[in-house]
Amino acid sequence: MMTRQSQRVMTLAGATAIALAGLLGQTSSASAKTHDIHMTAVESDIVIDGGGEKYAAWTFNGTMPGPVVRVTEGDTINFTLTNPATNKNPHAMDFHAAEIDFLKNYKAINAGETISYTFVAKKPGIFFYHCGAPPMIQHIARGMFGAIIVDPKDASVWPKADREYVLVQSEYFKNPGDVQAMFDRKFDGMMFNGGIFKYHPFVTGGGKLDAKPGERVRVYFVNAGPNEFSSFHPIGEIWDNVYESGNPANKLTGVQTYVVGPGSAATFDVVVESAGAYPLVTHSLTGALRGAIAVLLASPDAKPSTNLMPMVPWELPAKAK
Amino acid sequence: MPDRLTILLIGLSFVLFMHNAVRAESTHERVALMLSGPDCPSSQHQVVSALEQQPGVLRADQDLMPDHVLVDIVRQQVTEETVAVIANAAIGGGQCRAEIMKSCITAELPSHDTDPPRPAYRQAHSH
Repeated sequence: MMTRQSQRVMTLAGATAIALAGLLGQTSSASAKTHDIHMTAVESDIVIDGGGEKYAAWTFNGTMPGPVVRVTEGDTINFTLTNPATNKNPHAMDFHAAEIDFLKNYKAINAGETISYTFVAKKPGIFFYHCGAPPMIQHIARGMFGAIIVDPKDASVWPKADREYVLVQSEYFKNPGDVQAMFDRKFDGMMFNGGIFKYHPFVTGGGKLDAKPGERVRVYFVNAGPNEFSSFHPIGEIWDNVYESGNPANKLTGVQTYVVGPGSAATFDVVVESAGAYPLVTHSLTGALRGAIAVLLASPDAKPSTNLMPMVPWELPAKAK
Repeated sequence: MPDRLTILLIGLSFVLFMHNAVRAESTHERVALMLSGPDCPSSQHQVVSALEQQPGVLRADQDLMPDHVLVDIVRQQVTEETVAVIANAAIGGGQCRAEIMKSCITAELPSHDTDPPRPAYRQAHSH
């Protein structure tokens, strides 16, 4: 039989346990962050190739793709889109990472207006974001798209990456006013991160992506479309892992080529075993040979990379002598 | 009879027209030269120096890709074959050979005539 003192100790222990549990719960929810993300629709020319070709783009914050948004699973995003009065067109924002009412939040706003909404990034992964103002096919083709990474709350659910890049594939139409050509899928070029052969060192003005042999390189890949499928393949390598929609729970192993449809995304891990060049391409060759080639160069001298999207924005090349 | 100012303006317009016409046709391309052989590391600098003397060569880079010299040219002024010839002449008799790099990521369309293959996406701009 319990003494009065032992009953008191048990009561105290129970109360402490309940309080601790409550605190832990609070700690868990308190660890989730709130992000205030503000983007501006910018209608302006941007450079799309190493020759300095300019494109009459519509963008988020003046770059194509727009800025990478990075949050952690469970975080809250307070999003605001401003469409300046100087613009000529309505614009909108559709986050694929959000699970919210489309009618209220993704509606197009006119020039001079602002829209705000809030969502919680409940599922980890790599997600597309884009303008949904009509005609959506044109707003995406003209550059209103980007990527949002939702890191898993528990980082141990997948291997730690040594180096990370974001690649967003999209089609290029020479005449950005020709919506019929967009419906007819008559694209003139295929871009990674808003540039034709942007990471192809054998093409004028082209750069590369760097890595060291043995590093796990993680590529967060988004296909902005608006129409074409990407058949993403590392020449000279095999994807060690592919995560559909970038969710660690959706894990594939030893994949040569993985199809990412328009409006979809996946995360690709590759461990390059030896020094050399490993072109990352869409194996839909009409796209690859018109711009969608990114050469991953593995070298022991590779510098650390902190930029998820190198060469965005793509500046004009140096003046020729 | 036109006065001096009119003649000057007509002449200036003609010069500007011709200048713009030449600019519009100017096509920049990058030639990738792969250097292979044991003497190549000591020959790379000579290759770059020789190429940079050639009219039509805008820039020669030996740092972007290992074992390669990447040469930016104006296609109307120099051919990729000439670039290779100049590079091999600069190497001299050493054990090193410069070859135009062609691979599955070379972006060229097939040609049905005697013209050289053309890039599937061509940069045709001026600076």
